[in-house]
Amino acid sequence: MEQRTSKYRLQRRRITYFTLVFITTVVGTWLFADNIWGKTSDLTALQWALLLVFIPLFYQLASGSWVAALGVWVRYVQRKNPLSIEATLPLEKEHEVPLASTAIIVPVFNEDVDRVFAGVRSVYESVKRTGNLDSFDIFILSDSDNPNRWVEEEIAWMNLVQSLDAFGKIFYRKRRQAINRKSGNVADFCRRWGKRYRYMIVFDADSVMSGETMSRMVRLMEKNPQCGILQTPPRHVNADTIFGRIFQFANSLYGPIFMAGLNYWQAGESTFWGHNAIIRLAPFIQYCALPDLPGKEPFGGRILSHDLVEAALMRKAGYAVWLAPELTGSFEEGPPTLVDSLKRDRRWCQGNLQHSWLLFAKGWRGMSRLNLFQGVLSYLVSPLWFSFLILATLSASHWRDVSVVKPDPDSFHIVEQIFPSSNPEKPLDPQEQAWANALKDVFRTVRNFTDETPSEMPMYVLLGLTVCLLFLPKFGIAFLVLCSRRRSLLFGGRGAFILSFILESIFFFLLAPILMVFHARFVLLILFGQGVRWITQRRNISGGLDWREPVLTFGGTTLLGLAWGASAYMVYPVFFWWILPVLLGMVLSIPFAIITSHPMRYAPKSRSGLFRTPELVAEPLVLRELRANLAAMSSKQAIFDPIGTDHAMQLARLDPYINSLYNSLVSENKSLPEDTRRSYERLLDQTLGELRRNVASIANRYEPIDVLRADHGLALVMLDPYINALHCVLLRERKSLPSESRIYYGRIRARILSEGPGVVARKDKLALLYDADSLAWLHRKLWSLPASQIAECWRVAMRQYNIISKEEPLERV
Amino acid sequence: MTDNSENLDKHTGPTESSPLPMIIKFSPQSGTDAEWNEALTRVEDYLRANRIHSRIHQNILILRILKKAAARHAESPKLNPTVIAVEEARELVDRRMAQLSGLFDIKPYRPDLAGRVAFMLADGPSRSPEYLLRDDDVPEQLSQSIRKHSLQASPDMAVSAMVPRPIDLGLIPDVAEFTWDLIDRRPLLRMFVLWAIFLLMMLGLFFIIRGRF
Repeated sequence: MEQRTSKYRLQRRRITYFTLVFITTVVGTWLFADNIWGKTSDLTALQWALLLVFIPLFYQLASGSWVAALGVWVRYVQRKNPLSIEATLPLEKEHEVPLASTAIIVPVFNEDVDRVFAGVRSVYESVKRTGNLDSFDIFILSDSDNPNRWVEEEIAWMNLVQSLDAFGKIFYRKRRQAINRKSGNVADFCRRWGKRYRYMIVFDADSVMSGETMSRMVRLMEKNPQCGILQTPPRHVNADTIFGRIFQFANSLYGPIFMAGLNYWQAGESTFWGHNAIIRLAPFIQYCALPDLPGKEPFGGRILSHDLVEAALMRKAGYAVWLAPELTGSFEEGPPTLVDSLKRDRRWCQGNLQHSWLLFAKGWRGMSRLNLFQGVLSYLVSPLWFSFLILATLSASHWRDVSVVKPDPDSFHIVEQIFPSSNPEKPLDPQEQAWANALKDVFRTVRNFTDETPSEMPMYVLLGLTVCLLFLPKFGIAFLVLCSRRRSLLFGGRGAFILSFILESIFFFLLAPILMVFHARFVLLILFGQGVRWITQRRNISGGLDWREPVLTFGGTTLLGLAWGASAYMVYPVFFWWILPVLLGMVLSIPFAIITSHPMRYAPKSRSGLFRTPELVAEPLVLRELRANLAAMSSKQAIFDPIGTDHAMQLARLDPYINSLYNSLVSENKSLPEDTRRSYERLLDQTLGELRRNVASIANRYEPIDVLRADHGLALVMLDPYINALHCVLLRERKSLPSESRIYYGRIRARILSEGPGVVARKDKLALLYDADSLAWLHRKLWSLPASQIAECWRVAMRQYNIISKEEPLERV
Repeated sequence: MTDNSENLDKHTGPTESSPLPMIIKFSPQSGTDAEWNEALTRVEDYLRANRIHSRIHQNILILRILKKAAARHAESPKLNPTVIAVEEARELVDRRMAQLSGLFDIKPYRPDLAGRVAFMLADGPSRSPEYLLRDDDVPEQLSQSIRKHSLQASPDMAVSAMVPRPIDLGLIPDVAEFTWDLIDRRPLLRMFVLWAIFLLMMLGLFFIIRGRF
């Protein structure tokens, strides 16, 4: 009975939502059509094209606005959504549901090792605090193909496990063949260990989730056995550039409302974003393996945006996919600059366009098709908008000519189109004539009321409607924040919030045309067969972008904006002023990218400030820990900064004693009481001062090991007995090696020893890192061969290796 | 162990001026001073790389290793003393490390490497630095620590078959794939298709600007 009520209620919600979107789109289209009809007696091909392009654009606008409106309704009026998954398990009854075995998986690909492991540390400690550690295991699933990153990951993992005493709880797996990118990485985990766990929580390399949230997610899954995927809405955090901070602000302000709106009508047929979500492993393994698409990349081949397809496959198998908008404690990081954001968009664009194949696949649920369609449309709207503006520019000259013609004050073009009376061969019958007259009366009344010309009135109404759809949800949400002192304090107080809101609006006003140009370009490039490579995302940037990258990236956009503006002005100056807001973003794209890439770090002690978010004002513990972990790691790097020599940095990297010493200092530091911690920090400063002096003295005494700097990963594996052992132990045992491979490895080994690692290609170094026998041999030979038989860089490295640890101050510590 | 004890017995005790008042008896019968100095330096570096940071432990080990190396070198004077000395050092360390792997439930593929990792994870270099100086069994404290700190890269596998099921994409993708494939295989056809697209675009633009429906 309850299920039937829910079904009926959901149906009613969907009917409401789609009806609202439909009516808005139809009214907008009608107004637009009437506007262009009003200019001429008949529609030209150009105007037809404009109208056709207008419809999907307006649909997209209307659907977004209504999602926001429904979100406001759910959050501020209805307050509790009875059709949400969270309603199935009230918080007070949560502990009645036992937990189940869950794997937290963190797929990584050449990511910033410090950041990844600082995140894992915070997550582990958060889970430990909940007392539910027995139910969770963490897997770091590496696909890194950069030799340095690979070795760094292994060392970081070992340090982490050791310092947290997390033996048998945090695992590390390096895949030999990175087939099928991230989805292949996840699938590999499922094949190897999927049966051991009932659920997996998928992270991105920059994801962080609190132990409480993850425990609740598991319980919600346990309570709802038909739920296949439960997606949390991750909040953007840890941004340290203007660009990132504004995105973070917008995400915190509008995100929860949009999520609530989506959940209102999607319910158990929601979408999946590939991370910060929990997945029921058994059906995922059985039904969600991804086949290749027909054709080659970029349109065919391996599915890039796997998440939406996996959600559709899960739905097809009969499992629900839920979004949990009320679940907090789920975080991710956004791109730091516009350039990085566009690089990410390029990948997403290709992935979403691939879904065009799947729109008409057999057996999908209607909602899955709609989700896929929305994904495709989200990138197609950019070329559509671009085309719309081009067509509008082309038609501007036409309008200029016709606008001087005085329209017939009693003409109603739409009525004329519906009931054509001008054809003498086919006169209207009396009933049609009566309808035509009635319609004319209505329009005449409206016209008299507005006292406008027939062609201008719909245009103003349309403009008003568009502005409402664009800005009403935005202003509405901002107004609701301002109405509550508590809510506005979470955004830094009313004054700071208003200023942030205005700046954020200007930011997105300038950003939208830039995104339009680039997304349109991405779509075209993909259509012409240019795919994207799998690259590591730049997740943070220090000091902002220099001029070179933005000039190269946005030079064309700026020129396009200038040329477009000049043409529009020459064709029809009035139109130029209409299109100016769009051109402004394009023309200013270079300074926009540079300015917004500047650092904007959060200062917790300052009470006022721009772009505050609830996560900054009342920082969750898991994020505070993450920041502390990251600060500890960056201060470790900072020890060597004052010396200002790369050589010192190199030594610091090479010296495991310094690394382990500092790690232990940092981990002990965190568990100490406040007063002890302060005195400890003084001691730490003193020690660090001594460290600096030691490094400085060494930097003066020895020549830098330039050759090894680029290959510090391989150098560590060859030099350090423990890291060599660790790396070899982690490699899979090889039964036998073909003679060709033996010769190949022998050749590389000999060159590396006699000439240094710089002379060997990266792929050869990577191959060598997979061969435990070669690495053990290299380690042995490196230490035992006479100085005359090994490269100069190795001789220096062996002498300098650990030399810092010999200094007396460290012995005392 | 006897060699080591002898040296320790001869200590005169540390003083402010001389932190290592050890009597060193080392007079190799073969090889030059320069060769043995190079060997000593290398062994010293190698021990530091093994986190043997205590000067006393270092010197005791170096002396023991060099004495063994000198004995071997006397038998095979053509070998380089550095090579022999580091081989001795490595043999000593590897043997002790392999001994640690006996504490594991499952015999590892490379006992010396597994033992070395275990020794590091148990913080052996700091907590039990004397382990390398001795020849007896693994001390109880160290063995407990190693059992507690056993590094596991992954749990036991529980293999599942995750096989992609074909998605019936319907007729449109079939036709598209066929066309794509055809165009891909024939560069001339591809060129004509691109020309045709360009022509259609120009025609479309012409009709949009000039034409009427």
